[in-house]
Formats: sequence, C-alpha cells, structure tokens
Amino acid sequence: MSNSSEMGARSSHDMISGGRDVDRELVDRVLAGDREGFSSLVLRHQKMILNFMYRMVGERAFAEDLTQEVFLKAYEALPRFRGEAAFPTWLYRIAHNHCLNALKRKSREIPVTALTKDPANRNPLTRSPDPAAPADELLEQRELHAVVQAKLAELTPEHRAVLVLRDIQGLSYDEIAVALNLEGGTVRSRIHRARMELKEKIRGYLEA
Amino acid sequence: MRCEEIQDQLSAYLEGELEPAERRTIEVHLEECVPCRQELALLQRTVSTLQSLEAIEVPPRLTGAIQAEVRARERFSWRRLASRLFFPLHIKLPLEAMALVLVTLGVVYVYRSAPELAQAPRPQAVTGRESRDKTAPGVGGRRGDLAEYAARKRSAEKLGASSMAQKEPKVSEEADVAARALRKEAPAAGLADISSLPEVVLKTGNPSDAAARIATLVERVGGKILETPGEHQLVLAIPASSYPEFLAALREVGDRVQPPPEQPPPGPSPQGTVTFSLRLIP
Repeated sequence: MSNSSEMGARSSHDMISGGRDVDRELVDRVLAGDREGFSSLVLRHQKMILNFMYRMVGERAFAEDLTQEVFLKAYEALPRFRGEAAFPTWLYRIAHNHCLNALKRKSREIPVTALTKDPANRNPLTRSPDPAAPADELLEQRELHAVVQAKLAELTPEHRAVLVLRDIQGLSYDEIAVALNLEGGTVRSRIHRARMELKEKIRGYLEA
Repeated sequence: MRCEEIQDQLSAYLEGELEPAERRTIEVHLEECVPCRQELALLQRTVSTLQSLEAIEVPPRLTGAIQAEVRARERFSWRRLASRLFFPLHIKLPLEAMALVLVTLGVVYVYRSAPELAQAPRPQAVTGRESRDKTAPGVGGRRGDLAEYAARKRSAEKLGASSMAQKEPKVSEEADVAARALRKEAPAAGLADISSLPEVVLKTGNPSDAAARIATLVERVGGKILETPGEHQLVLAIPASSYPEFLAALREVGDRVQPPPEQPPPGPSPQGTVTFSLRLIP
C-alpha cells in the first residue's frame, strides 16, 4: 500500500472514529447562525467526499460538481441532522444517494463504462488499458490502478459503493451499514460478491 | 467442504471475521488445495490494489465554489427560514408557545395600563343599512352622518397624535441605544481589507490536508475562521488565552516562513484576540 493512499483511507476513518465531537460542535455553531462553522466542516470532509465521488463516477470534473452539490444538500439538511450517526457517515449517506441519482441521470446520456473507456478522456487513472501492451508494462502499478478504476466502473453502483467505502475509504462494516441504510449481513455479503466480481474482472491482469 | 464453499468464505476469512473453528477448517483446506490458495492470493491482491489507489487532491476552486454557493443561499431561502423557525420542533415549539403567551400577557397589560386605549371606541354589533352608513358616509349622503363621521375621525386623529407624541421620545431613545450598541458590536477590524492584517506563511507538505487540520485546531482552541479569501489562505481569530497552545500545535502542521522563526508571531489585540491571515504553501 502506498503511503498517500494509506493516509487517505486512514484519515477518513479517523474522521469517523475520532472527529465526532468537533463535527457536532461545528454543526451546532452553523445551526446557531455561524456560517463559517460550515466552512470548517467543508475543509474537514471535502477530500473524503471528493474521493468517494471520483471512484464512483470515474471522472474528476463530474466528481467535483457532485461534491459541491453534496455539501449544498448537507447545508440545507443540517437542521435535520440528529447526531444519531457520526457526521461523516451522515455525509456519506447524502453523497451515496446523490451519486446514485446522478448516475441514473447520466446513464440516460452516456453509460459510465463508455465514459471511462473513452480514449478522449485524458485522465490516466481512468484510461482503459491496451490488452496488446506488454505484460510487464501492465503490471506497473499505475497501469494496474487504471485497470481497477475502469473495472470498478463496470460493477453495479451498489457493488461499487461498498468496495469504495470498505477497501478505498476504509469504513467499518457498521459505518457502511449506516451510510447505505443496509443491514450488517447485507453489507457483508455484498462486499464479498463485489470483491469476487472485481477479482474475476482483473484476473487476467493479476495473473499476467 | 467443497472448494466452492471455501471460496465463498475467503472474503470473511481475509477480514478475520470467522469463528476460530471455521477459520481452522479453511486453513486445513488451503494447506491441501492449490486452486483455493491461488484464489485467496488473487482476492488478497484485488483488495490490496483497491487499498493502494491514490487519493486525489481537492482543487482550491472547489472549496471556494462551495462557500460561494452557501453564501448565495444564505441570503434568502424559504426552506431555511422555515428550518430556522421550526426545527428542532421539540425545542422551538415550546419556546414559541411560551413567547406567544408572554406577548399576549404583555398586550393585555399594556391595554389595561393605558387609559387612552381603554377609552377607545369599541366595535359595536351593527347591521345592514346602519353599518354601511357609518363605514361609508358618502354612500348614504346624509349630512348629519357625514358630520358625525368627520368629527369622530378628527377626534381619533387627535387622540392618536397625542398618544404618539407621548411615546415618541421613548421609542426614539430606545432606538438610539440599540443603534449605539450595534455600532459597538460591529467588527472594527474591517475584514474587507485583509491585506492590512498581519500575515503568517506556513510551509507544509500538503496544504489541503494542513487546512483541514488547522480547521480542527481552530475549533479546539475556541477560535474562528473568519474568511477563506484565497488559495489555501485562512483569516483566523484566536483567543489570546489559547494562542500559545495554537502556536505550539501549528508547529506540528508546518514550518513558519513568514514572519521568520527568529521573529515573534503576531500579538493579541487589546480585545484579547489575535486576528491574522494564515497562508499555506507547499
């Protein structure tokens, strides 16, 4: 695991486990009329939501738009935040619902898989690999990451969401259950099926 | 156990979620079964590849765009107004009911203690023609009614003027006190001119992460982020009492470039806060 990704996953996890009180205080401040409290909430959690969106939609500009919309939705919904779930988990729930709706709208225009395979998409992380390229080149980590991002886009949004939350964002099973409004058993079985499906899709690259 | 059943449990096995007996069963099977061992290795590699995907950084324009949208919505929103007025219901409804009772009691008290209000003509039950004549004198055209209406109107205006004349100095005095209080509470620093504030420049490995850490830090010491005017720039107000703690924690976030470490950092104002602009550079 690379250092940066390790930090990314750990920081989002810390925000859920350790940042609860700070978030609650900030929410209370915003509800009392202090708008700058919301700026602090944005600064604390924007990276987490942006990365979730990016792995879900596979396109950076689209992920940025969705992240902005998620925070505006959260701002509007803040008076209804009861604190039963940690703030980041609550934010993930808004992000997940918003993402699924956006993907449905987008699928009527261009399928996500087509988008990530589009050669015009210059982002190396979403570029589909060339099957004719030499095996050693495919094994390079950057290429493997591109393959995984492209194959993630082929999973159903439900499977993609559990993998992103568990294996990339580092949430616990319980946090995923709350964020996606699912039973714990459903989370476990869905993660297993999603991993097996992704494994089959990248088997050729891993065995090469 | 068949290979298929074993492979169905490999994900839970990797997570360490199986009971010791189930775990042992899997391990015994894996010792003997090469294909299942290969499947486990592939699954491990799939998970570790996902975990090693690098996080993307937040572009500064995103933070600014979110804040600008929030400001725009803050100006006016019916939904927000309703939220402010009524949510959370369990707290605000009893408060509003109590306020209504107090206002009613206040009105009754003022009405009883002000003789001119008690003497004011009360509406009487009138019917048909009589009502029309009194409320619309021109329609009936009778001189006596018209004269009575005009006299009553003059009397009412006189009463109102005298009442206003009595109350006006008091109202005006209260307004003046409130205005003076507001002027006193208004921020004197003038955040419109950020360039006039002392600037601290912090060299840090990752400005986005550092900004998030500083937001937490400011919250912890009871300070405020007053503005986020530019790329990785924050205008902060820190209470003087917790300023040394803030400075100590800031050293863990990055190295101070401006003012240089040998020079002292910005000091507190007479009001007991330290207001300065903090710029983060990679």
